[in-house]
Amino acid sequence: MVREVEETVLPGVGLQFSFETADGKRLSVIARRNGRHQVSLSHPDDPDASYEVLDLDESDARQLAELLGGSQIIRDLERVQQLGHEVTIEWVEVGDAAAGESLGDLHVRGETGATIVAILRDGRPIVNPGPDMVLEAGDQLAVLGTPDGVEQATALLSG
Amino acid sequence: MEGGSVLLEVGLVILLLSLVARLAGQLGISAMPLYMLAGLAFGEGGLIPVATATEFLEIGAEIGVVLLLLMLGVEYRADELVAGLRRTAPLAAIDVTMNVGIGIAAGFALDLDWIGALALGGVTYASSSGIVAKAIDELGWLANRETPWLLSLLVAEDLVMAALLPLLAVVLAGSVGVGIIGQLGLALGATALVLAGALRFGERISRWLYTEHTEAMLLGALGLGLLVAGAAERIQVSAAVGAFLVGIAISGPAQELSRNLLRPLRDLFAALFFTFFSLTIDPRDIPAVLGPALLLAAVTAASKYWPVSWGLARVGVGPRGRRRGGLLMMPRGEFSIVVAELGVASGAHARLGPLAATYVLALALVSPIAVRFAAPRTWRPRLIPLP
Repeated sequence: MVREVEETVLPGVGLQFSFETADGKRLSVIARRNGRHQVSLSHPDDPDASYEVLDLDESDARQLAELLGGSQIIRDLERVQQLGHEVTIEWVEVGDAAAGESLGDLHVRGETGATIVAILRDGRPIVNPGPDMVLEAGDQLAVLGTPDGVEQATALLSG
Repeated sequence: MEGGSVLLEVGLVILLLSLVARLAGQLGISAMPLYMLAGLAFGEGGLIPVATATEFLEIGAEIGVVLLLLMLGVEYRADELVAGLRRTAPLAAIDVTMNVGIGIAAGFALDLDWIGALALGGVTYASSSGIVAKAIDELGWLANRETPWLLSLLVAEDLVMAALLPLLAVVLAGSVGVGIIGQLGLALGATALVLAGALRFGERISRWLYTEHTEAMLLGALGLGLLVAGAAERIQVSAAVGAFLVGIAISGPAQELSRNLLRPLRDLFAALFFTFFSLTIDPRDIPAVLGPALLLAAVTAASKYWPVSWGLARVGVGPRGRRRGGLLMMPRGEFSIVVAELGVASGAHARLGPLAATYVLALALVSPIAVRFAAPRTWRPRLIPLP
């Protein structure tokens, strides 16, 4: 579920991004000009007030983004892996042959029955990529399907 | 004069200011009012005599004003200025009318001449960006709902102030009569011309100015700022506005770099400016203006609190946020002193200086305390129990 993020200019400070969390609080991330990121939550007693939860420097912020973004997908995928023997999931690195091709042109699903459910590109996740998505060499693909299908897809993609 | 006495005095003044700045840091307040208190303690009638260094301090103070305005232009990107104005436009108008109006009325009521009264209108107008922004950050209120709006109002006020300064400069410096209309026209024309130039050629100027050699960039931005400020003053448009417009013109990578490079210089020379302003005031003149200054502070605290709180209500901020905002915006600061200095330099009534200093000090010292009482910073929910 993607939430609506409000973007506000804080003159002299930077940019503020905020959204309402599942439990009704306002979570805001302030990206300061100096590269620091400040994460705050609205106050339970006074929704206009806030208190700081995290103050991150540039590399902390990037690390946290990666943890929350990238590994969330990996964990979801591990859960899928436990479905049973009929369904398996593998990470496949895109080879030179498939690089530059779009998913639609490669016909992975039609040829092998396997599906590409996510792409990790430069550490950033792309979930449920569409047929227009053009692959790049080095992309990590999460491929879901029967063991045979995944094997065929691996041959097709990593070649 | 004995050798080294200028260095001795300047060194002593700056060293004492560093202690003052450290104290301000520990208290979590802006150092500006404390610099002013230190300035009162120096010089004639004060605790520490400063005699030979005044010439240096005077020039330093002049550069300080230029740097304050130059940095103001450099600090904000064009989209931030536009966002600031757009977000607060209707209220900014009420804010100007009330707070400038009260200042002028008070000036006449206090028997200042008309130069003094006009200048006092400028003194009571703008909230101090430095003090307010510092307080918001220190109190951890950056993510509060009222904060974007408050920061925008600060920007809007600074912009209005920059527009008022050339008018004020002409009126304060000029003779009463027909000549003043010509001067006003010239000032407005020159400002508009430079502003148009800044917007039209800003990118080209910035590209020409930009270099990754930090010394060259620093000297380039500073030199250009001082040069245009001087030229503006020569045609009586107020040096400060010239510097502000140069700041606006600097954009892109040149803006990013010069912001970081100029900030320490601004801190130094602005400190000298605030110190020098109150250095020129004899503390013995203060008791006579204390009553009126405090009364004016109380009235203009209310005349700032009310419009801010009303404006916040319009954007849906609750009662506690409105109270925080109103109290936060009360202090006046940098620009009040800039305008007071302009008035004093143009030969306003002798009481203007002590009056403005006492007024600014009262608001700057009282309002941080008021804000902390309104919402103590220590109170925040704890996520993880401490061991």
